[in-house]
Amino acid sequence: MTAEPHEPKSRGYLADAASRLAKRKLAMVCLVILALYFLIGLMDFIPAGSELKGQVEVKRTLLDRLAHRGPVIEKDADTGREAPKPYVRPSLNRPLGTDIHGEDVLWKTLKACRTALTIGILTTIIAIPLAVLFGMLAGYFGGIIDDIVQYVYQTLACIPGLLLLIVLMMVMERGVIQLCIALGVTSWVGLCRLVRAEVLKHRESDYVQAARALGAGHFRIMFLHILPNIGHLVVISFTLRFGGLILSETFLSYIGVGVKEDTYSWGQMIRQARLELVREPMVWWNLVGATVAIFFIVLASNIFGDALRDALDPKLRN
Amino acid sequence: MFAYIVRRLLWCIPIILGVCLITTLLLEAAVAPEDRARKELGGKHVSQDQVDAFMKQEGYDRPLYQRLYSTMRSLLTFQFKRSIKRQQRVSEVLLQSMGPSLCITVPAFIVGLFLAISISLIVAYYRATPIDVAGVFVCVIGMCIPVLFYIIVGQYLLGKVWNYFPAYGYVGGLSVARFVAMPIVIAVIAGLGGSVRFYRTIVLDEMYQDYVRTARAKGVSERRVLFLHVLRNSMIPILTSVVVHIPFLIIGSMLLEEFFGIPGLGNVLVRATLEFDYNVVQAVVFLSSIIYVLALLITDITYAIADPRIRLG
Repeated sequence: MTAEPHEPKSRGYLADAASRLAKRKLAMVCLVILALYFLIGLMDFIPAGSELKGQVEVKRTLLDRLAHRGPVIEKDADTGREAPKPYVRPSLNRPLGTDIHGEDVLWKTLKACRTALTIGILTTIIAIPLAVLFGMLAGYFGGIIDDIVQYVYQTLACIPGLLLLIVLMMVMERGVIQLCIALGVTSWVGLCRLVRAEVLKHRESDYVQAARALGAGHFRIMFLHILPNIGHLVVISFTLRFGGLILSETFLSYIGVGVKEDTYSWGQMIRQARLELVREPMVWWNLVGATVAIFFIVLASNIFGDALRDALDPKLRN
Repeated sequence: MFAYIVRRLLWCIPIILGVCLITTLLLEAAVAPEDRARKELGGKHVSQDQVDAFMKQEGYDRPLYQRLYSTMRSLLTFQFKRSIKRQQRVSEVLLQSMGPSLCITVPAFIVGLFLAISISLIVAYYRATPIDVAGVFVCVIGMCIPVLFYIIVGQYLLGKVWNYFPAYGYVGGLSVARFVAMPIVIAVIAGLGGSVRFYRTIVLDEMYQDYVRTARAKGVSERRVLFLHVLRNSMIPILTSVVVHIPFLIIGSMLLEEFFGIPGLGNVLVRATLEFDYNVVQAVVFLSSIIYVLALLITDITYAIADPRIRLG
C-alpha cells in the first residue's frame, strides 16, 4: 500500500483557462449577454398555461406570459369592425411599435431568440460529431480512409454553399429542424479539415508513440489520448461559428428557403422589413429590432470566442 | 512540380464527377420528373397529354440512371442543354451574365484588397495603442452587422434619399457605373472587417520575426521596417489567401446581384434554383466546381512559388 502522494496545490488545465478567461472583463460582459439570450430562449420553451384566442386554445410559454403585449385594437371608422392597428409608432410604452399585423415587435424580437439558439446549437450538435469522427479517422489512419474522407469533403466544398443550402431545403421542405440539418451538412467541412490536420501533427508525437508502445488500441489512442489534446479547437471553432450560423438563418429565411413564415425569426422580420423603409412615414423598427438583436448575439459570441481561444490554446498562453 | 500538378489534375476528375452526381441527385430528390415537367411547361391549364408528351420529348420518362447518364454526358462534353425558362441555350445565358458579375466583383475585389491591406498596416503600426484597439473594434462591429442590413439601408439611400443612382436594375454600356456603384460599396464594407482582422494578425506575426529585430538593431526606422521588410513578407500569406477568390469573381455575388437586380451569374443561379430551371443550375454548378478545384491548385502552386521553403511532393 502506498500512501496517496501529497500533491502541491496546482491548477488543472480547465481551472487555469477559466481563471484566465475571468480576468478578461470584455469577455465576461459578452458571456453575460450570451447568457441573457439563452435565458430568453429557454423561457420560450417553458410552457405556462394557455389562452383562448377566439375559439382556439393557444398554448403560451413563460416568455409570452412575461413579455407579450396584445395588439392595439383600432375601430375602423367606416365598417365599425375592430382590427389590430398596424405600424403603431414606437413609444415609451411600446419601445418597438407594432408590425404590419399589429403584433408587438419587441415581443417578436425576443421570441426569435428561441429559433436562433435552436439553429446555433442543433446545427453544432449535428456538425461536430461528423467533423470530429471523420477528421480523426482520416488523420489517424491516413491511406485509403484519408483519401475517401478528403474526397467527400472536397466534393461538398466544390458546390457553392448558398446553392447547396437552397437545394437541401427544397428537398426537405422548410422548417427549423430541416434548416439545422442543411446547415450541419454544409458546415462540418471546415472543422473536419482542421481536425484532420491537427491529428496528422499529433499522430507521430511522443505521447502517442508511448501509448502505442504500452499496447493501447487505435480507438483508445484516438479518443482518449489525441481527442483531449485537440478538443479546445473544437470548442473554439464552435463558438466562432455560432454567429455565422445565425447570420445564415437570416439570409436563407430572407430569400424564402429558411424557416416558415409563421416561425418567429430575425430573418423573417428582416424579410418583412424589406419594403418598409420606403413607406411614408418610414417604418424602421422591424429592421432595427432584428438587426440589433442579431448584432449583439453575433458580437458577443465573436468576442467571447476570441477570448476563449486565447485562454484555451496552450500555444497562446502568456 | 510537374508530376504534382498532373496528379492534382487527375484528382480533380472524380471530384467534378461527384459534384455533378450530387447536384443531379439532389435536384431529382427535390422535384419529381412529372412535377418538373409541369413547372417547365408553366401555365396552370396543361393537360395530362401535354405533360406526357413533354416528358417524352425531354426524356423525363426514362429511368433515373438513364437520365443521370444523359445529364452527365451533356455536362462533361460541355454540350449544355437549353434553359427551358429562358428559351435560350445555357451557354448563351452564361456568357451574357458573366459581364455584369465581373462589373461588381472585380472593382469590389481590388478596392477591398487595397483598403484592407492599408488599414491593417496602419493598425499594426499603431499596435497596442488606442488607434489599434479602435480599429479592431470597428472591424468586429462591421463583421457582426448582417449583410441584409447594409443592403436594405443601401437601397433605401439610393431610392429615397439621393435619387441620383437607380436602386434596382442594370443597363450595359457606359452608364453601368450608376447601377453597380452601391453594390460595390456594400461588398467592400461587408468584407472589410473580416479581412482587416485577418491581415492584421498576419502582419503582427511578421513583426515579431528575427529579421525585424535585426533590421531595428541596424538602426532602420520603424516606418521603413514596416513598409519595406514586414509588408513584403506578409504579402506572401495575404496574396496566397486571396488567390483562391479570384476565379470566383466570375460567379459574382448571389446576394448582392439578387437584391440589386443585376443580371449576373449569381442572380441567374439563385433565380434558376427557385424557378426549377435545372439545366442552368447544373451547368453553373459544374462550371463553378471546375473553377474551385483549379483555384485550389493555383493557390498551392503560388504558395510554392512565393515561399521557397514549401516543396510540393
